[in-house]
Amino acid sequence: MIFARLGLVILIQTGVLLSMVWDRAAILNEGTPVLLKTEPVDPRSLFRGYYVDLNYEINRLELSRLEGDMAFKRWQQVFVALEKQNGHWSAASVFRAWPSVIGDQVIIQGTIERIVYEDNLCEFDDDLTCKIKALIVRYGIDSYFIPEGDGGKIEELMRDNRDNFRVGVSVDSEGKAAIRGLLLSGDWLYQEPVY
Amino acid sequence: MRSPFYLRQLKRDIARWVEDGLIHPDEVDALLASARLDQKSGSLQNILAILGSLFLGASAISYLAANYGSIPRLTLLVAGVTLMWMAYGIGAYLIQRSRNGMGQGLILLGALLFGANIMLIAQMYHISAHYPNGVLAWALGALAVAAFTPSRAALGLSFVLAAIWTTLESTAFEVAFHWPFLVFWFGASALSHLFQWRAGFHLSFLTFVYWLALNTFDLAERLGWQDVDILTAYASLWLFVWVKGCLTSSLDYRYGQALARYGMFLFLLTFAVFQIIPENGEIQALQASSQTIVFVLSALTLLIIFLNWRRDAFNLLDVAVQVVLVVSIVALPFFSEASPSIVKWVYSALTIVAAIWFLSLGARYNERFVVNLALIAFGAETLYIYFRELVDTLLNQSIFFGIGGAILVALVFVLEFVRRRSTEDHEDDDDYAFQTVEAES
Repeated sequence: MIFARLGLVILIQTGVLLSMVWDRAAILNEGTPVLLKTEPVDPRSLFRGYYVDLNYEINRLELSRLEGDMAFKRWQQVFVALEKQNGHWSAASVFRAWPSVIGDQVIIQGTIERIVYEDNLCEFDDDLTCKIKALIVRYGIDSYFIPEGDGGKIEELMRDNRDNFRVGVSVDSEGKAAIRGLLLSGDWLYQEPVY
Repeated sequence: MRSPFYLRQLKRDIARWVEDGLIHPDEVDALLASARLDQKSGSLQNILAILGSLFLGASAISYLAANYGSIPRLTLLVAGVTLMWMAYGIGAYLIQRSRNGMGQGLILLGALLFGANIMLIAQMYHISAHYPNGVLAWALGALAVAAFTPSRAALGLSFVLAAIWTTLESTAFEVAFHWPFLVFWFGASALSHLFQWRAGFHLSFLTFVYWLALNTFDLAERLGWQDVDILTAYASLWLFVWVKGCLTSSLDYRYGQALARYGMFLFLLTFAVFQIIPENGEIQALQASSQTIVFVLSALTLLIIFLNWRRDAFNLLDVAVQVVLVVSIVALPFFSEASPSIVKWVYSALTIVAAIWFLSLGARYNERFVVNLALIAFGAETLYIYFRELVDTLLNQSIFFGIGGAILVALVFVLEFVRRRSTEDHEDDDDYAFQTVEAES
């Protein structure tokens, strides 16, 4: 009896693990590849392992330079339209709901981590009448896990080649993103296999 | 807890006792059978198995965290899932063969490996979006294992993971009033109740109090509560928990005593803060919502006090002190409006009264925990009064302590008088309370 009951749990747990893999693999296989400009942040060590924090150009969205909606709330989900410019993809507009795609735009889904207001006093109040200057948005692709000991090497490479460092990302039709790898001057430094 | 070598030693001892004629040879088999039964239910092996599993789980997590680039993703994933299946499978096999300790240890290892696999996949695909969801998936997996096996160790793990999950949601993602935790908590607590697991009861109570502490200010903000609303609501709640614990304890509910102890500790902690409130600003009237909660809890507390008295759990003096405590909680906002300057005096004195009364109660009921906690509360309150210069001048301070000391000494005489009148045996001149404490120690 215990085998039957536990078998059911094992099936469910394995199903959860496989669905996680399936979800990511689908994004990597079928998603639109985009290159994002990034800046290095110090590698950190947590119990999850060694990883590099990635700070993308599209993490900070200056609303005065973008099309789309202007009123947002913290922790709100947003959809950012990306356009290809000078070999990498930059934000063109930001919306609270899924927007209509123009040309070869790619829509990426994110969450507002912080709102920067024109008036600093508004930081302490979620009053929507305050004018928003910029949004700090996270896309779930902010950490790149690396083999133990490689952190320093990657950090050094990123620092020395600030303008030539890119992160290859796949974005699926719902705007979910997954990291494909790291590129230096157009060559893959690390490329992620699907499986 | 007996040593695994106990049985071997016992056999030698029994042989010697038979030789010495202390026991009859016919009794040897029955004695050894009884010892073997004890040995089977001995918890040393179980604890070692659980600890071993935790170590193995930590080892697996660290190994995967090392993120060996040389091992292909698929191999690593298959290895992780296979290890998890093996742990569950061998665990189930051992439980079926009545080797419960080791079996439960392996089931726990399986639940830990499920979490390690979640982390492995998050690491493989660089997933960093809303990571508390990963901990929630792990906690739900552990809860499912606990329910279906059944496994107390997995249930304990699920409580710990739920606490981590709600901490991450509340701190890293600043989720205000993280109520989904309660849904998980109800499920896990119901399972713990079903298992009749004492440690599970403690985990359930502690995780709930932790969640409450984590969400108190968010909840207060939503309801428009000030400090005084939070304090009176909590003091009423914990006093209610205490009297409820006393009632259920007298009804032989297995966790009644633990409930009463938690209630007493949290009540004293909250009630002691009443005297600090006036120092931090004006006390305002209670909000309608907190007033309703305080009145309802107080009414229920009074009802249970009455029931406890009817069941002879408390005497009239106990009832009087408890009623005074209930009234003093309800009266805080009203009292402070009428005479705010003496609030700190009154509640300091009431805290001392509560500590002394708990001390007497602990002594009468032979409860060392209650006696010790009451002594700590009494000492802490005395130090607070002394160092915070609660009373404006040294002379007044001297009068405060002098009156307090005189009341205590007078109380000792009154209690002794009552005891002598109510006890037929007049030969024993020792104070009952001290006698009990000494017997305990």
